[in-house]
Amino acid sequence: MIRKAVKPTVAALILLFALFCLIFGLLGGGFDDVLNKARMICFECIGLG
Amino acid sequence: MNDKSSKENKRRRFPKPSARRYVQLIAAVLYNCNFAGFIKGKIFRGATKGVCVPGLNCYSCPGATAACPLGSLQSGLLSWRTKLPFYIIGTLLLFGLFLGRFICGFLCPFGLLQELLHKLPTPKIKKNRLTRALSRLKYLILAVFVIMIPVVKLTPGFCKYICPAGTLEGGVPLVIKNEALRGMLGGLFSWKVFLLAAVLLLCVFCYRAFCRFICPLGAIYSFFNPISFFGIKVDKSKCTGCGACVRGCKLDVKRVCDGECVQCGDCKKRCPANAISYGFKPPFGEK
Repeated sequence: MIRKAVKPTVAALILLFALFCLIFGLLGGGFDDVLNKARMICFECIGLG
Repeated sequence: MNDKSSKENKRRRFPKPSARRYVQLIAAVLYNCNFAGFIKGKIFRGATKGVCVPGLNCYSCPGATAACPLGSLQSGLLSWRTKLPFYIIGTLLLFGLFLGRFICGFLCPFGLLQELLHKLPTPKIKKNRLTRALSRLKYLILAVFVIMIPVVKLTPGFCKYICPAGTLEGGVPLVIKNEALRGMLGGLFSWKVFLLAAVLLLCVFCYRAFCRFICPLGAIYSFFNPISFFGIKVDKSKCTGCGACVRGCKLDVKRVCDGECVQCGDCKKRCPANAISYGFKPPFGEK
């Protein structure tokens, strides 16, 4: 009974936290950070860095 | 009669691809549809690169049109002292919460490659105590290579030392097409090519070995599997508890949709009571 109630509560809390992170991240320029990184060849990823 | 039996044999040897296989193929093509990049040996620089795809797909792949969530997380953690990667954390949480490891089973190009390799007709390693123990290794890799090394050493540990997807999708095509990069090859590239070959070889004998033992993205999504909004679910009113689902599963699962389950749907076919299906899970408690 407790588990049944806990599961959606945890999911709802994570959803709220995720939305907070996403909005806060977007407002803080997170999209541009990812874009700038992904536009360049990542030398570590390809094994040269 | 002979014609009929040969057709039957052919069908058994080359079964019709499932809907899941088509979804995997479409996802792999969509993630990497900058085909000109493969010819020119240059990576895509459009605005979509600021968006993360749900599966493991290197953003240094010449075909990649979006970013890898794991690579972005590590690069975001490099500057944690001044700025935390909230955008990536939020994206990962949303992917996990909505789909869990359904992403591994349906939307990961490296998962597709592993499944195709496993189809090669060789003796196979079945799940056992060792594979069960090894399946915990991915959590250690997540903690050490994805979080600790970027935070402490300020280098993307998983991308740099392990990621076979980066070597296969980014390293190999770029090195083949780009002479300047060929001049920079060294011990690290040799190590990564060796690791890639070892992982691919292991996948021939062991079903989804990379996903089960190494993948930190799978480890992240595994935490969300039991609470994800969409995915595979068991109708408890129909389930007889026969255990055919877990017994027949090639992964180290203890029950359907636990952390190890990639939601491939093999159990759905095996269930004699038709109790397993895909769909939105009830928002309040289990059915």
